Amino acid sequence: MTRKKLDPLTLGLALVGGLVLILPLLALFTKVPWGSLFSKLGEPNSLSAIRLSIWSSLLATLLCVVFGVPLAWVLAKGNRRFVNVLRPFVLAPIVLPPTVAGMSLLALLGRNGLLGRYIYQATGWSMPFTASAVVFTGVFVGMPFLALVVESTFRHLPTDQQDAAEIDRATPFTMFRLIALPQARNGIATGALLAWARALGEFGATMMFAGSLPGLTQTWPMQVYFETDQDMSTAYALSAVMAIVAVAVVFALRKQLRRAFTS
Amino acid sequence: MRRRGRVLLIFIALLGLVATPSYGSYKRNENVTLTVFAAASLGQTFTTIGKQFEAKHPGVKVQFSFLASSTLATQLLAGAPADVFASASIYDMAMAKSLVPVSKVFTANRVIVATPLGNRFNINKVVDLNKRGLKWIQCAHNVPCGAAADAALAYEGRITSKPVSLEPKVSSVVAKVVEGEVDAAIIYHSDYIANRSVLKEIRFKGIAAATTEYPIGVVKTSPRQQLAQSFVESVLSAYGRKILAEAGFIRVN
Repeated sequence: MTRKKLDPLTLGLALVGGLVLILPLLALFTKVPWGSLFSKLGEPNSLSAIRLSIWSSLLATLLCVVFGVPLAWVLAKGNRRFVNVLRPFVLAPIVLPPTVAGMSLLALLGRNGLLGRYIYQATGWSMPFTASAVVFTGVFVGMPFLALVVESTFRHLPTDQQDAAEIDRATPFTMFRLIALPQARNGIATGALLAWARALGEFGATMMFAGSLPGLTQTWPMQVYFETDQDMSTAYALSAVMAIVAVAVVFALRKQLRRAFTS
Repeated sequence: MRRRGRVLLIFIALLGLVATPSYGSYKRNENVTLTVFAAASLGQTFTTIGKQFEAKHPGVKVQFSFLASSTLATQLLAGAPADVFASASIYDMAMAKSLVPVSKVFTANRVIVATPLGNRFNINKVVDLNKRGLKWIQCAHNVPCGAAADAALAYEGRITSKPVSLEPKVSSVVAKVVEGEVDAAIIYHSDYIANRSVLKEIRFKGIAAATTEYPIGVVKTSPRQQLAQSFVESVLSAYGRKILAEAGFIRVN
């Protein structure tokens, strides 16, 4: 491989761009109270927020996989005109402002929501202010990432096995289950990890839709927000661990991400 | 070559964005922006007072930030450029004392229990909050409306149920009870007055416990001391007091 020379203008702009992205994270780590990190994270409110975020984001990821992988299959193999209309709606939450995501979820599942109204009338139960709302928000913001990556994986699977299976008259479901799924496992893992990281980090939509109660709906990022009014060093400690998780996820996926967005 | 020109243009445009002053210029006395940090519960009244202030001071624009007083105090201490700070609690004003050394209590407010009219739990007493399945919310404990709610509930006693959410500011609590998303909420009497047509009010026994005082003061680092001071005076004026009293705030001397 030969390296092409880079011109100074491009290099200069790239340097600014790189610093804009990297400096804030570095600055964050300089503020973290490393000595008392574990005692800050071990405070009851921090601990319950971390615990809630971990289990709710894992559950959200599971749901993302269960529903998102078939969705990605439909996007990859379905009627092209139908799929081209569907895809923008499926991917929209990626670029939706969190507050708008929160409003949308309330509009659907609030007590006066499109569906929530009937659920509330029939059962007296409504989703806002419950841990289910935290999970649902995670699914809403996470699944688009999974669908995006997995659809691309499905599209780029080698076709020989699928062709062979077709000749052997495999049913569409068998094809999906026994051939496409195992072949796409790396893509599914990548999508799931991205969806998980996104669900773990969601803040605005969760606070609007799920409220914030320590132990029930107050998630890790929300705890960061509330701690900024109370104890900055705890807020920095909580932030640092989230930042490490985020960097670790992207680091683990560095090859997959390059592939997913170049092919 | 053409491409390089385009990149340069984008770069220059971005520089322009960075260089744009965000808080108005104060070289000339006209076209000044006065930034007022005020408790979320002051949203409507201060907007009204601000309009009148702008009418009296041509060229002056009043820019508000309505958030929880605790959040505003934190932002001030972190260097947020405000000229005036109006808090819903003397404690948050005390927190910002290094920046707002002089302040004066200009009004007070009382937390109450509000429930949407026609709510199926038929709440008539504070203790009805204990009803099974009822969802109620309040502000976070460190926010003035939350601290007042905690004090009022403690005085009331017998409340064994817990709120389903601790919201970051009173306006979020008000929005959710007005929307009927919850069965009850602890908000200010002034919030109830503003939404009388859809809410019912239940008062706490402990009037003193439920009351919080609102101090206002000029931020020491403000480059517009005089203007900031005259805004404070307009809040303290007979007109300001009238607006606040009409909105359900309590008069103080």
